[in-house]
Amino acid sequence: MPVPKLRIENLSKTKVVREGKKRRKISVLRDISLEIKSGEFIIILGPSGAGKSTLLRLINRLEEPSSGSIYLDGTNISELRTDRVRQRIGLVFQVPVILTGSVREELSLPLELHDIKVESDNHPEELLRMVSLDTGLADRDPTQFSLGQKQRLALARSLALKPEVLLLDEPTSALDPASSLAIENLILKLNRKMGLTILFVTHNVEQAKRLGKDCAIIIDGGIIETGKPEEIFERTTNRAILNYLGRS
Amino acid sequence: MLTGYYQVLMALVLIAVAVVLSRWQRARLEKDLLVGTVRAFVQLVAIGYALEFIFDLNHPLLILLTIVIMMTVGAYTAAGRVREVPSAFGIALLSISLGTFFTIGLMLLTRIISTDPKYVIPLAGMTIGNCMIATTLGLERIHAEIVGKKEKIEAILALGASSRQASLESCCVSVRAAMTPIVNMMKVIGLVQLPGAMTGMILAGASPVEAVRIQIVVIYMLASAVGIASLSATRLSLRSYFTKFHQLREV
Repeated sequence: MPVPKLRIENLSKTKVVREGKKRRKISVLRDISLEIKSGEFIIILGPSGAGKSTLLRLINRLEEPSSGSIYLDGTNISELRTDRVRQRIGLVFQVPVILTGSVREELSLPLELHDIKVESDNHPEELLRMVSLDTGLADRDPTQFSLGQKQRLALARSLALKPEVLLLDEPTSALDPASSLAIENLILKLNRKMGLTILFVTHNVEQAKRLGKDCAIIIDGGIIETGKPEEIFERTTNRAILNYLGRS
Repeated sequence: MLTGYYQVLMALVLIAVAVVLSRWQRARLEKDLLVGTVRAFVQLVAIGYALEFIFDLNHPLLILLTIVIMMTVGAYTAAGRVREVPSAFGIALLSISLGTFFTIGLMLLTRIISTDPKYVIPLAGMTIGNCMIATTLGLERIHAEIVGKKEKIEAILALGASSRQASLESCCVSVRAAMTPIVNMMKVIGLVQLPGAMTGMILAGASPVEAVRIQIVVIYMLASAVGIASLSATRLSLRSYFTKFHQLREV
């Protein structure tokens, strides 16, 4: 049996929150276990505050779990160098952040951080094409871009490192419906054509149905159900999911 | 010209003017002004006698102890102004110490100044004071930068950057903020303001040319010390903001 690309084993995370002068421990993720095969597209669906983003942050190692492990190609990521983990597992945030003053710099930054030599002079243009952005934008100031263009650029920036896994944290939640649909199609294409393993976080039930991929529903820090969204929604009797769907 | 404590007594008239102004404008600063006046008098007279004792004894350990106490008070004051920065006292103490010991040590080694406490202690005092301000400004700025640019820093970290790479811009901005006062002072020195050391020497009877020569040494020494303290404070503070796995801590 092939080793899964990503294996999450009994992952839990507690955080300390401040309430005035008092500090309180809260459980953000509880005993999460999940296996993702190479080239698979998995949707992580759940309401706001369910722990979805924390799960992605743990996989990208922006945070440490309280207990449990994450394996990349069978190796515990805590045994790998953090920069290598983040090179192999890209993360695209909900709100795109522009880091430099030009698109070209934006796309060469990830390579500079890892001391990787650019293979071709057209590297930025190739990445722009990959995310369906006009190559004529290469020398433009990205701070002037629309939110949809910025999100595509953030996606291209992550792709510059040729990651094996791409984590997408609600990448369309800040976009209008047309831009949102275009990004969804783009991500599906990247998965299909490049064989990129994808974890797509969303709180949007309609989006999960539209993407039509296998999904894990997270509510209150735990995985409640896994399967195709339509099938789960049809058969479920789980009160938490019914509440989430507004059917209770 | 008046001499001795008559000078001080007459200077009290100026405090009385400030008190009257405060009362007239209902600023309610009369009590603070009076407490400040008494405190300044007691503290300065006490330090005057203490310094006279240290100068007379001229013992290296006593000089070192005096400098260490001054650095500790400086670090405590700096940390008090940046309570939100984790481990601020330790960072400030180390940064002020580095800046002070490096510059004063170098000046002693190269015999720019003698080991006489009447040179070492005032110069150390000036260095510590400037390092304290630089450390406070540097720490204040790095905290504001990291809190304000959290999303940007995490976006760079997520690409595989080290915490040093991710905070490079914030560190540069913070060092600049910490060094701005000394750089500005160097630009206008002699044109807008006559610095304290020079003024003191002229008032004590030294020739202006002699006073300028010492002042040049002092300002170069301060620039070096402030540079070291600023860089040290911002760099050391990164340990409080990032984990060894290049993760941004909750602040």
